[in-house]
Amino acid sequence: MDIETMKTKMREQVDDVHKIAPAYGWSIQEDDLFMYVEMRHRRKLEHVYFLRVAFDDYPMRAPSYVFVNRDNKTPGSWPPGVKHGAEPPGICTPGTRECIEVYHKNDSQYQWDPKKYPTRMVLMEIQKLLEKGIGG
Amino acid sequence: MSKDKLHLTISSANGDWENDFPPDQPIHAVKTTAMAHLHMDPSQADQFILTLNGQELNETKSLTECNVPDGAILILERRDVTKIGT
Repeated sequence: MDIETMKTKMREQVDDVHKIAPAYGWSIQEDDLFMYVEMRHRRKLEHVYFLRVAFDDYPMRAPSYVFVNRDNKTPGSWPPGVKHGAEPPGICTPGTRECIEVYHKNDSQYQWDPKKYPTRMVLMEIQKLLEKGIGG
Repeated sequence: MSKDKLHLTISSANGDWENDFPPDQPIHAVKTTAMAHLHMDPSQADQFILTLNGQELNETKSLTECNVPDGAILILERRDVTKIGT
């Protein structure tokens, strides 16, 4: 798939995420085929994390969702209880590349379908996981 | 002066729905009405909550009693997380 098509499809998802970002307090940044989401616990605002969503090969493949360090964008600074125990680092919730292609590969229950797993849905689940992991 | 209606946006994983609600409308009624408009099964209403600024809204109370302001965005979210393994 050509990169312009990927960017167009990514644009649709990013625009949709912007609609709900204020309600969650998300701050969105973009860099090429990456979207970065600053997420925080809505009731414990001091807990802030930086999520990288990679749209390479989207929508043929699910986006990759990985928490990274804000400064250098390398993997790190995961909220407690969110990171899957296996490699590669990822989040085991429906709609993430890591879940679909690795943790639950060949599991017919979790086949990739961009209409079934819009980015806003996955981010909402990750927000819940983050808050549950931190507690409160 | 209080408004006759509150204009609210209900945001969910399935999309958004804007509507005007009476201030005395119970939260539970707001939720089930929104679920129907967002093509979600209202019979599964117990699995979902409405939140404002991260706080779950008490379903037995009205919009006014929950201090929901005009123009607010309410999130219709799952009560529990969907995590399938660690």
